Amino acid sequence: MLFGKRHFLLELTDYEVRLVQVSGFGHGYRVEAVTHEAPGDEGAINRALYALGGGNSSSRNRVRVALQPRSAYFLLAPLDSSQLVKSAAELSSFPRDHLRLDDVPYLSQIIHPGTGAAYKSNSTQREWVFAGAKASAFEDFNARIDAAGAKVVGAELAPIATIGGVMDYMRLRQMPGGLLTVFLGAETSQVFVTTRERLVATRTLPIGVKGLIAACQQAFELSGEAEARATLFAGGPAIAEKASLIIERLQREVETFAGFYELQAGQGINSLCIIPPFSALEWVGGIVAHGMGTPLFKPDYAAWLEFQGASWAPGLDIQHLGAAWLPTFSLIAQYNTHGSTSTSI
Amino acid sequence: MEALLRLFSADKGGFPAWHPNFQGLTHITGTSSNGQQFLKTLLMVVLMGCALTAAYVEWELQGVLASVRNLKQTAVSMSVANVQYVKASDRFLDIGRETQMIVDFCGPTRDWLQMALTLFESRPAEAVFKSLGLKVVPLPKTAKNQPLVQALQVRLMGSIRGETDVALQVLEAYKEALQVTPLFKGRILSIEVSNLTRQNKVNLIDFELTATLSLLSP
Repeated sequence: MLFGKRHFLLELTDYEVRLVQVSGFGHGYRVEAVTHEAPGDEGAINRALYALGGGNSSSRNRVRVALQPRSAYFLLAPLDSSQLVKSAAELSSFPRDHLRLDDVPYLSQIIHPGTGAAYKSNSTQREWVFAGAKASAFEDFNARIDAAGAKVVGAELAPIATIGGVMDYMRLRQMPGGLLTVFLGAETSQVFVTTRERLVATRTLPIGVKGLIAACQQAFELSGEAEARATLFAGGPAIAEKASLIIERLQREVETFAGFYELQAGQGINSLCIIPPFSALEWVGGIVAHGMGTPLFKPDYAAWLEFQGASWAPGLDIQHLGAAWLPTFSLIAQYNTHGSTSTSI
Repeated sequence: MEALLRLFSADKGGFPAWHPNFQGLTHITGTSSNGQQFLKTLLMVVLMGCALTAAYVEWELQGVLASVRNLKQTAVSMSVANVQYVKASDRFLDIGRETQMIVDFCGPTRDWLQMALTLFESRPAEAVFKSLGLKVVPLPKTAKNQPLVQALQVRLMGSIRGETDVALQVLEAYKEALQVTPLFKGRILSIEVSNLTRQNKVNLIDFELTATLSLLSP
């Protein structure tokens, strides 16, 4: 493999770069190596590539990337019969009209909430997932990753890729009811509820890591934001006593949404998954789940990889990886090539 | 086999389940931006407005054309009546003229007897009257558009005994006498003596006195 192509799964957030080297992007892949670097910039991507022996050669390094641009939108919405006859291109103004997006070009996709397939007109399916972000955001990420020494061969929105991942995992574990996933962002957070069959609800919460930093600064009565940030990311016993105070607002927002969902859907939230943009914030999930009295979803990557017919390099510790790695591993997961079946509603 | 399955599972022009790829996506939703949408809507509204205006103008034009047709029909149907009315009007005018003539004729007759009496009462002793003529005559027009003015012409024929100069004096005196009578006063347009003819055999001079009087009473 000295001169062969190297395949990577990359997740890029504002706080961290997570890189997984795989043998290939096809079925039966093998996870070769895992690393993460902070913060989420070109330098970190470059360091991560070097750490996995990738070097600075964009002609050799192929990456599939999970992104969460600030301009990303994510909407589960019903279409009426007059809209269902339209093509995907004709429906492109739908999220624009619903979400008051900026008047700039967006890249958008419409996805079936059950099967995850692309939109087809004249379908009996009424609800569809609309997702996208500014075209310029994708271009920026592309340029940054290219500059860091890798060629982007696929770019996905992290929350969308993760929906497929958690649904697959729910099928693997035969998890009942609804799973509430909180996708922590910098300023806002995407939350969505999935069952084994489909995506059932989505919402954007007005709190993210920056809100947690502010709460941390207030809780510890720190003078500067940088200090608060360091304290929050350090986590551990130092933060334990004030942890519930720091996540108070996040927990309240999540609880409100969960309550709203349960009331509206008449279906319970059986577990909670919190995906932080930074592995150091894995502890947030435990505190929020504890505060809400809901079991915390902790992915078992070994079981999931086996379920997918994938393998991992001997000696590679994948068991310790937290929920933050779900988007990265979801990038390669294929949901129609192994035992489980997707049923649409 | 897996590759085949994937091939079939992926929608035509779509993506593998839960892997919508934004890399190299050419379909940009921003092409139909809100601004352009607004312009499109505006254009549509303007075009609709134009179409509606055109339709309204056309509709109004149809109405006008219809009323023109109706009016033409009315004009045709009324032209028959109009001819009758014109004829009636002409008849009325004719009757009017005749009536005027009668009025003109009858008007002066009121004072004909008085006229005759006046003429005879003031008759000079030397004169005898042979005939008296009274008629209504039109005055000669002095201007083109002058309305017709009629006058009463008094024509008195008679004879005077004696010489010509004596006869002339008598007649002159008679003229002056007539001019001051209430009936003649202020009404005389002209008064003259003509056709003086001497009849030597009977020593008489025939004369003719013509006076033109305005019809209006003084």
